Amino acid sequence: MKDTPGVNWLYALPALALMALVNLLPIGETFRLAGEFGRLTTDVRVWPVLRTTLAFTVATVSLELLLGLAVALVLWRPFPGRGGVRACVLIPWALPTAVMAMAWRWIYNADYGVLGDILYRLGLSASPQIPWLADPTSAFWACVLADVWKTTPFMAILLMSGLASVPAELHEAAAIDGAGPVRRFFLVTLPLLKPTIAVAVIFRSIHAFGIFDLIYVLTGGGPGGRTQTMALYVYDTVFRYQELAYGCALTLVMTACLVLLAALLLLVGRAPESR
Amino acid sequence: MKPSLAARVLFGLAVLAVAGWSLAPFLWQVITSLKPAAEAAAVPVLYWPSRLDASSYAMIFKARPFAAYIWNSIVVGLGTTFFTTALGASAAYAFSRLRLPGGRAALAGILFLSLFPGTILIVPLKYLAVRAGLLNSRWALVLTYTALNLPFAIWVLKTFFDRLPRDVEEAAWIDGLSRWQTLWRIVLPLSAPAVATTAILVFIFSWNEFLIAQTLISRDAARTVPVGIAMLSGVTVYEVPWGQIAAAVVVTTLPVIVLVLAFQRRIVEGLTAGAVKG
Amino acid sequence: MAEVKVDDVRKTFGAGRPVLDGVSFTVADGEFVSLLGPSGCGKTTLLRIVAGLETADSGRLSIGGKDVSDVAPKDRDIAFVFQNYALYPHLSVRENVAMGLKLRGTPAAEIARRTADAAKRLGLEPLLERRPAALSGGQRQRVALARALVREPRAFLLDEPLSNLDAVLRERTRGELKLLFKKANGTVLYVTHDQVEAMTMSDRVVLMNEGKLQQIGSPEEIYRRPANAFVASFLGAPPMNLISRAEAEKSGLFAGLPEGDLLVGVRPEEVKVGSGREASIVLVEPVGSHTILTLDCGGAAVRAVVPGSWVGGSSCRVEVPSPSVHLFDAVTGARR
Repeated sequence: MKDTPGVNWLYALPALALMALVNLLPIGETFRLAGEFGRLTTDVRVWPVLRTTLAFTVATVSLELLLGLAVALVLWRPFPGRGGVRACVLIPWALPTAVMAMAWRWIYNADYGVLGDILYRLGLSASPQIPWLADPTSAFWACVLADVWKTTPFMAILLMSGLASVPAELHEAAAIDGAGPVRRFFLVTLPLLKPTIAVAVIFRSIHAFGIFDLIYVLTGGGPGGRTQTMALYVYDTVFRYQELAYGCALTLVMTACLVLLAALLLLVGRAPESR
Repeated sequence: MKPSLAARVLFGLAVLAVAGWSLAPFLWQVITSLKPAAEAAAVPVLYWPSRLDASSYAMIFKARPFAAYIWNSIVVGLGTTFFTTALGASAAYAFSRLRLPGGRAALAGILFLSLFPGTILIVPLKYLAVRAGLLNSRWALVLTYTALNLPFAIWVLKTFFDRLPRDVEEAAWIDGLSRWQTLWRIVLPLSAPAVATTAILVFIFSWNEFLIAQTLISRDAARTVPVGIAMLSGVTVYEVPWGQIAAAVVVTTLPVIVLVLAFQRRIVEGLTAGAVKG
Repeated sequence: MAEVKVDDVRKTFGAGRPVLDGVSFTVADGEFVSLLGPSGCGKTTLLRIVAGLETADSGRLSIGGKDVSDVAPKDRDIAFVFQNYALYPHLSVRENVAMGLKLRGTPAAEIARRTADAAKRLGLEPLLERRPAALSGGQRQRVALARALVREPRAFLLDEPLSNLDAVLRERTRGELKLLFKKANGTVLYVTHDQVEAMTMSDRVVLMNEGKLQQIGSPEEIYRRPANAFVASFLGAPPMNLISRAEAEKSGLFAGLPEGDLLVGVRPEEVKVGSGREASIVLVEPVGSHTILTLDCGGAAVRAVVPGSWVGGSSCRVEVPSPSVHLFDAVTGARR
């Protein structure tokens, strides 16, 4: 079989060409069209939006990690019916975000929302009608909850495979050394899980930072722009206010932030290795 | 180290809690969709309809071109899956089996690109689509989705190809098949599990995608389902048809749920292979 | 150090035949006992039950006179050396060795003293700050041993600790291990499938097959007087010749066989070549220090071992001295 690099690259060419077209071309256009950089310093919205985005990222990723770990610890050992339970757990992740955001809007509805009613019946709220999405703080946490609901499965699945790869012998050695189940978790499980956790956190942080679908449909960025993240802000700037140049400038800022975030997390992830 | 009865009861409760939490929002939509119109938005909240009423389902197809939305999503989904699998398999084969100077760098570059969410691309993508005359075309979606899914597909398939023993391909070579033929007639059939997993995940992605679909398609009849649903609510503030929305949600999400229930093992394998990039 | 007593232990996994079918024996205080047998005979399961990593379906276990059948592994005061060493990959050698002591609240000074001592005995001093990933297989094994020694437990349990080493290292480490545990006066239960290890290292050997104890005795005892056909054929390389009564009578090498359905056995090294009946040589296998001859004696195939090389041609004279004959019941395998 002919094995010249030229011919070999042809196999990958269509894929590479398409990816270049859809990724690199827009990036090039963004650079070309970006303008009004000065506005970045005077724009009052930039900092609050960045803050909201970061807060959202930190909140969702940490909650997902904790919940995902809990779910993983429950589900990773085989038990009868595990397949069915795993399928249920996968469902939130698999469902269309925008579509489920509508479902969450219904749950959070000020007049007819079921969440308010449940809290009222449990005695945790004075009234069954809670205007979740009208208050900035509760709207923010409403978004966080909906996102955590959706993405915890992804974390859980990753962590489950990480848990399964911890050699059973290590647990046994720790047991013989004298460690109880809690101690074993911190001595054996967690350290060996670190690489998996690191990868998951990096992935999720990058995607959380760029979140759009959920918040657009759930709150539209409101109330009063208090749940507006970077992606929403860019979208509004370009499609609502028709300010293409500034929108591209903002996109560049967003990209820079993402690269920074990724680099930061990678560094943090590597640091403990060089002890 | 056998668990006690108390531990096992707790475990069972935990499992139920996890499953319940995962399904609750969806189940609530199902219940809401089956209520007679008046009961959907009722105070206090009705946890179970007085009778099962499927009229909401009928209405969504009448009020909006919902059937068209579903058809569009199917077409785009299948198209994306086809192209992603074909282009991805070819590229993955090259990265796995063929001598490619600079191949490692290219792979790293692809992976790096894949990290960034589509939200960065929407602005110039729309601009480009307008210039190419592809606005409101389903092809624009297929091409974009394929490009966005290729990194994942290439990674999963390459990992799988790496693990495939080469002797079958060498036997084919001796028998006289060319490399190209070997890829499509030998390697790909042997890779059916990985291909199936990739196809399922790509289809789900395509079915669910919202932002790009909304940006590139504004003609109502060409819309995909997620965008169509988001549009359902906007008629007037006071007349939000929550029962119909619920019905639309259920119709939209049911195919995905069926896929997940049928292929949960494959999906888990695909996710872990794709994400634990070492 | 303490004695370990296994009393009628049984275990079945799922719906098959039992993995352990009523095994009983006692390891005396300070004794080195090997659990030897083919794979699947239950020796590793038994070891894990003694450690508390598995529970027996029935039967009792005692260490140092105390019944520990329901006691958790960490409270049995035993040390376990795993086949794959099971070192904590993210901790240094020193931390690995000290972990058992640390978890038991041993005072820091004591930990330091014992760790230094174990490190010295096993030659680990230059490696103390390294991580397991930076060690060779042999070094990792010594860390696993140090981890066990430092605990000064009542018994040492070892699960095929040499099987992951290459042949040369295995030979050398065998002797070192024997001396190490002798000096520590350790009660040792040692699982292996390698009969050379078992024979050279142990005070006594427990031979197992299919979940049952076949014989227990010193290496000499079980070699010289195997209790059944399995033991007879398991020990010895090349294995004991075991032929049916009919073949034995045809060969003319065995006189005065008693009544009944018998299996007749004689070890190849005890077959005398040079005098006796005529036999033709079917196969010559030179090993270097000795040569294995496969002989045809009146239709029966018998193997013999002669020192050095064989230059005698394609036939020879052969006889079997009667003290070298072992007789086993052909049906039960038991010694007659």
